[in-house]
Amino acid sequence: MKNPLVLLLAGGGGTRLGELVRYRAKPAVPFAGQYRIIDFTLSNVMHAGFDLVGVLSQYKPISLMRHLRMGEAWNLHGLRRGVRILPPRTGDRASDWYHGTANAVWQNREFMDAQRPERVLILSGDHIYRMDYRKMLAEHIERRADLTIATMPVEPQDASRFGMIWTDDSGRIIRFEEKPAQADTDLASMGVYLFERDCLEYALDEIVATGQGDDFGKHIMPRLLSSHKVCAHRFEGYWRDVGTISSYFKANQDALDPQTGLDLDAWEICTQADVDQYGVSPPVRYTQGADCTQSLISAGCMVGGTVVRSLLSHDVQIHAGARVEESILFNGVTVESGASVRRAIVDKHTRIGANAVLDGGRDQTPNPDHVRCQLAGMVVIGKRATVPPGIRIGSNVVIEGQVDEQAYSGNVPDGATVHR
Amino acid sequence: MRDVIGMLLAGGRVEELSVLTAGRTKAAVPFGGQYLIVDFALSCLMQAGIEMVGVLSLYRPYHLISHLGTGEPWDLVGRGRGIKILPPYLGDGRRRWHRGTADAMYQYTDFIQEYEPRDILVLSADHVYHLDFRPLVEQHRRTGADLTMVVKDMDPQIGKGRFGVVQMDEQGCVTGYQEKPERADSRLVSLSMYLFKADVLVERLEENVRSKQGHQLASEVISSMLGRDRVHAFTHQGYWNYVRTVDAYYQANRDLLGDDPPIRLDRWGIRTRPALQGLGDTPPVRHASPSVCRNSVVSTGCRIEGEVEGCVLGPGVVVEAGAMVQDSILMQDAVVRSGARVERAILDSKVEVLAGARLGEGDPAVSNRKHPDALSGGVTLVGARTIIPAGARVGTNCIIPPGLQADRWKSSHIADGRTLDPRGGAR
Repeated sequence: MKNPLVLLLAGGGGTRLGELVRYRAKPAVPFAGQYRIIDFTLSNVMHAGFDLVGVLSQYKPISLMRHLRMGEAWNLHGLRRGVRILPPRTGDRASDWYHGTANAVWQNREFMDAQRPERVLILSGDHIYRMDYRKMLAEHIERRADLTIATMPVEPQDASRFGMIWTDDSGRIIRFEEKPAQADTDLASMGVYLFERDCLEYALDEIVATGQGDDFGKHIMPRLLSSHKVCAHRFEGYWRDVGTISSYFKANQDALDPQTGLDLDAWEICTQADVDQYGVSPPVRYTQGADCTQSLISAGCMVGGTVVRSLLSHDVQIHAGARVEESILFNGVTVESGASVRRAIVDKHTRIGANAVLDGGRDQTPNPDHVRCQLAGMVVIGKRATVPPGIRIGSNVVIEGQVDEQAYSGNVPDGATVHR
Repeated sequence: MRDVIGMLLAGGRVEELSVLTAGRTKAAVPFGGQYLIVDFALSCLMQAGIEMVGVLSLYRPYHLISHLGTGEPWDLVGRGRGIKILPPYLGDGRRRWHRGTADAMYQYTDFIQEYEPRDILVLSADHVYHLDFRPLVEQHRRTGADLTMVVKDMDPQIGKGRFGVVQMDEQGCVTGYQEKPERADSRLVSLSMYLFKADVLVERLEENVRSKQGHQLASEVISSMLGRDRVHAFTHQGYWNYVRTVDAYYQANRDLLGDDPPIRLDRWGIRTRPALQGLGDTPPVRHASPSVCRNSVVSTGCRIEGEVEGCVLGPGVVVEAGAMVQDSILMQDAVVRSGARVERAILDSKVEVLAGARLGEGDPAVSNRKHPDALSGGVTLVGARTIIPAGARVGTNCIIPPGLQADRWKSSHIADGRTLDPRGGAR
């Protein structure tokens, strides 16, 4: 049995992650210290033993491409193994940006055909989960399905966020509805599709190519139910879409406690260290004043202060007397002495000045500029920003990337945005 | 720097490092958590832009060879770049593998000549330091020296009987060299780093192998060059350490700790090849609640649930809740179970200290009976993969061999200064 060809949809802009996706695609957003969101899907692919992945990417792909390199971190580099970035390109028309998930696959027909796969596994690169795709593949073959969709149970009130699925007793899907207002089923699609090649070809030729739809969830799935055998594979386990600041923060907090189901030790998630994989970041150095509890600290960090329930990416510096609580600090962030950081997400290479106070955690005053991000009281600070010494920053505050000291006019109240 | 090639002497086995070199050559002994000692020399070579390195390896080279791999961590892969393992060989009328460092290098004059370098930088692979070789090359060429030796100003008491001592005149020319003298009349110590003009080196090596004298690079070849060739000294101001004994190894690791440590891993840019741990990469350091971690260097993949203070931890070390580890060095995947207590100990990789065991408490005045020269500083050493039985008591200055299973221990109380034999009996 040949391995399925894997197509990974990394196209989404993830705009509800706000400042965190100003310079990167959602799959390239850092997660749980040293990882990026896409590492979870790629590690699943690696553990399944699949060998060729096409990454369909059109949104700020630079940091994603740098992260993937030749795919060696996920055992995707070798004679017949590989990870290929598939950006949109000029085709028959002047510009052919991807118009939807199915459209993106259709535009890469040549790549797909050249591999002559028996099956195609379509994944999305922006979910946190650990799944054994081999089980799904075995079930798919046993049922002789044309298409198997991975599903998981969700709460009824969340139905409007998912593609909802109704099955018969045999597991065959009888109804598929994208983001319904209400649903009398608890099965949601995870955006993981395993196609027999001819079924996918049918969908691309008959639906996408004829202009009848560009999206798997909205257009393709409902149509295929009548013409093909479409089955549901039940997944039970930890799965999160980290699409908003609030859900992103919660999932990171889950990584601090393996009891939540997000168990980094057991999941064996692989990543490409930021600059390269050869340990340029030294081990973590703790000085005499260090006090860390329930936290994840990546290589290269220096901890001289207090760190509580927080996640630190590479090369973060916490100076003596600083305090960081329930926060997420990306690569190269410095927190100077006496500063206090609570409920904040701080992007790369940002400097928090001495005695500054980031006072996140109160969700009373909404931030009108970032309603869709669901800040939930968090302070979000963009890449390479400066937080001046001694300043006080309230909850639900967004400080844009590259902001310097001149951008501030004193303390920043709850719900405010500091623009560049 | 295409016209300088590096040659690393990866040396033999040294008794003074005891069980740390039981399965590996000294250059491959872990240091600073995630590194091997050889990473320091290789990273300095890379930072100087040197593109071709030969490694003369003798004793137990497997760990070293797999660590070096194709050399990509040190940018030694690509057109004209490389790292070559140069093992000794028999044949050609040779009855012995080699007779000394000079002889080992002579066996590879073809390697030296193949790349037609202008100069050869000869280094020991078992020193911990950070040094910019570019000013060395610049001085060497400016002075037209045939050999430039790197020296360091050191308290003569420290180096007594351990290092080569160099006499230098006001022009920086080396006028005398003594190998490990008991009484030194100079503060300048040779750091065993030599930059030779390539053609002069080859000539002197050929002379040496034909001669009836000894075949060590430092004591014979270099001594023979004094008064004949232009030999200069280059002074290194920064950190340098030679971890010859268990005590010295322990002390050098202490230089990683403190608020402003002498070894600045955050500035030196030392590169390594992280050991693969099965399929998964190692996650970030995980701190439980409550737990303590102070004044320590901790590698990725560690899990801290107990108390850690004054320690250097390699990747994947676990300190369980209620365990306490103080002033110790734990290598990759060592585990300290709940309620155990480890003080002033070196635990090699995959050592497991079972619940309630206590290591390292005792009278430091009692030196190790078997190796007093190597171990008298009040440190206890445990070889790789050994399991310390639950509730055991191991004193200070003890040596426990590698691979000893918990049920093989003949006694669970090991007195200060004792060495266990591989069958579990104390001597």
